[in-house]
Amino acid sequence: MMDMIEEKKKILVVDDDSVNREILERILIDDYEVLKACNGAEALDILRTNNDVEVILLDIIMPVMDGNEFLKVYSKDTSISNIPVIVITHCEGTEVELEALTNGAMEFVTKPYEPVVIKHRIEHIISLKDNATFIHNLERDSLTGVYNRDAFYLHAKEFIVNSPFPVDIVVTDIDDFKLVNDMFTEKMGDRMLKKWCSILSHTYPMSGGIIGRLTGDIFAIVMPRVEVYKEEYFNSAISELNGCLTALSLNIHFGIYQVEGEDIPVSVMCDRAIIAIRSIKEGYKKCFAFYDAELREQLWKEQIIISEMKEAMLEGQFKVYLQPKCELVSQKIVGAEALVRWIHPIKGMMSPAEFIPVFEKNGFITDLDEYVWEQTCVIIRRWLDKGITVVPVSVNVSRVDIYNTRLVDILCGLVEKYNLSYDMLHLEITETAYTENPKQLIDTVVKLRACGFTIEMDDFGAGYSSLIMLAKVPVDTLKLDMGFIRELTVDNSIKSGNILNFVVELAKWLDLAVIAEGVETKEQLEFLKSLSCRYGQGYYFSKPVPVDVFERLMTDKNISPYLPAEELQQVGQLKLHEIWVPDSHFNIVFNDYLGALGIVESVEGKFKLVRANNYCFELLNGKEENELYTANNLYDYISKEDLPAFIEDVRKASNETNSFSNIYKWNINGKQVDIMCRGKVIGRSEGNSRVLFIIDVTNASEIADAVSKRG
Amino acid sequence: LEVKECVNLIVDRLKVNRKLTMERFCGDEELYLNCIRMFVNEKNCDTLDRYMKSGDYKAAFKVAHSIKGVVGNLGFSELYAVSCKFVDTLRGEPKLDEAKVLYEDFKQSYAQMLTAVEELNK
Repeated sequence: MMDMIEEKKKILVVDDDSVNREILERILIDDYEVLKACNGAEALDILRTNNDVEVILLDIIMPVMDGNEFLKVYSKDTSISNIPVIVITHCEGTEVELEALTNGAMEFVTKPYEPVVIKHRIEHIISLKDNATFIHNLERDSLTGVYNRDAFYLHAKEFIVNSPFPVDIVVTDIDDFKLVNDMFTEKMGDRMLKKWCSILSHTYPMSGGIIGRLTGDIFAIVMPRVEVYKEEYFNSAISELNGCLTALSLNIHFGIYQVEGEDIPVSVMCDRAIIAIRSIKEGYKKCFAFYDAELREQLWKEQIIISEMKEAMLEGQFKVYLQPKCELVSQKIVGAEALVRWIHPIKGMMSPAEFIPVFEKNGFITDLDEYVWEQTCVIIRRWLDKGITVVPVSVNVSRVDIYNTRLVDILCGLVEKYNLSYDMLHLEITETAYTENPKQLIDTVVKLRACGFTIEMDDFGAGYSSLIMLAKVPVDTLKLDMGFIRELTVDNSIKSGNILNFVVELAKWLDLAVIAEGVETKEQLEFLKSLSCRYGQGYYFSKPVPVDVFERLMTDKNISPYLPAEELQQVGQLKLHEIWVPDSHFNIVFNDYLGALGIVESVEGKFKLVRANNYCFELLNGKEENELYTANNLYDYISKEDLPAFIEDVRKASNETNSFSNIYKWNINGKQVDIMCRGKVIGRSEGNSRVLFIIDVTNASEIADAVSKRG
Repeated sequence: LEVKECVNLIVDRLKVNRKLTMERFCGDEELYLNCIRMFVNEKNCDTLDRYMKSGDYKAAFKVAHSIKGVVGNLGFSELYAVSCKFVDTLRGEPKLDEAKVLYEDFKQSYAQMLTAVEELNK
């Protein structure tokens, strides 16, 4: 007997005759809730609004939509086709009844009704169904309804064994799916997963395949091999999902494992497909990848590196090499960067490119960094003990180190332990770290600087360089990426030269020292010198060398003190930083002024144009902006006879008068022109080694002509 | 007439197997009588007659089949037996000669049933 509190199970009675429906209801009403329909069409309506009907009792011969027509629709509608159907008939075995069986009916009962038989059959069917549902639920993922992980492994194995065709396992992974739950709600995340699952279900295993949810946002499909996979094959599904989302666009990757033989577990096959995904996760270019021999070999190498790393550390196979940083003009050593090398007992010297990315992935980089920091401190301590003049040595602080809350303590601890002074250890923080979690990074950098460390921003120009960020993040030194400089030699590009010039100037304005990295040729050196870039590092000077070799390079006459950038002091009303803010008042006036204006820096015996408005460009030969900045020493324009006077005027203004005004002969486009030039000092460094002018330049010859014509 | 008397009358006149039939109605005699009245009021027989006269045997089969099912459930054994034979003649490719003969038997039996049911209202 049924418990009264328990909700009664629903039974749908489909019969065209009301008397039959009444009788059946009477028979069933004590144990079940009875829903009634007088034809197939009405039955479908009821089923689509009641999702908890347990059994359908179906008369076959009915007007409107008879039993068999109903069964045909029913068997194709997966939302109802799992409800068992008992057909009511007069005698079994006729064609109509056979048809009912093929259409999906599970049982027969006969008319006239035999209540005991009917009840028994219904109970039997419900218990069968409960068992099936139980198994179904055990195998299904409750959110999406597809196979859960264990069931997928099981059924995929069967599929692989039984498939007459080659089979692939495709795994999909949504990038940063946790963000969706975080940015929206978990409910929204769940809805998206369901949607994605349904897209996958109707897109991929079309030719007979199985789909399962392995975990979170990772789904796996086993299906007959597709001969050639193309981007479009996956992109359509990705865009279908993104089409449903307005606020964000998800990046989804597919990894493919091509099954060869059946001797490894499906779970391993899936892992391999996931590994294939990892190989492309960094980039945005590829949306799918195979687990292939190359990947396998790479993983194998990584595994070896991982298995050997700890021992290598204990045995001191990691060595600190030093690469000199030099002053460009004197080429004397002003400092060094500590770089790690792995001297492997069998493989010899291993390039950091081989192992650093692996360590970054598995977290060992933290240990290695700390090791290098300490070794570097040991080196500096030895110099102090031996009485060698110490140059500052920079060490790399990896992105993950920034997240280490003990970072400041560790670094300060080392400086204290070896009794060094803080200015001897410079810290290089890679530029990409700045974009990731700027707040935490800025906080950390502020603390480190407060301790007295010098911070160098590494790889500037390599990543998502943001010039604005330069102003926000407190650093002392900018290390320009080799990429900037390499391009210079590749196409001798004026454009990259200009960018470089701009960055060097900007750095100076922001009081940052600049070290150019990757200087390899004399031409590069000369060019950097022409930009007044002060320091450089690269093979032109020296490759990274063992410490003893470096010590030999460091003779007294070969080293020079590392000077931080000179700060410019504002002179007069103009706020210097406004010059670099595009929409500042200064720039609006500067650009719209009806005359030629320029900003010029007097430094190292040059009079360098750093900004010019349009009139100024026109006046000074009308050439491309590019060339003007590249050959930007205004002294070059002034005629030989007037140059000494001009230089003297600039010198006087720099040191005493703050302004000058005079007419000089300039050579412009091969012609000598009288130029009225007025200058006013707007900023200067201590000792006047750098003085900044705003100048107003007028073609006095033109004015004289105009005046004489007027008579 | 009392419910009991009505049932007695039907059982007697229409040769109903009382035990089997009342089991089907879970012993609910009132429901049984109600169903009989519902059946009569549905006037399926008139519908059947229309189809037989117009020669739409397919439709006639469905109605006859339905009647057969109900009278079976109501336990009217004679009418049920005739209905079964008659329905069989209409199944698939109708055997018209046979059907016409059996239809007459069916009508007669049906009329007897109606008479008995009408007596209930007295």
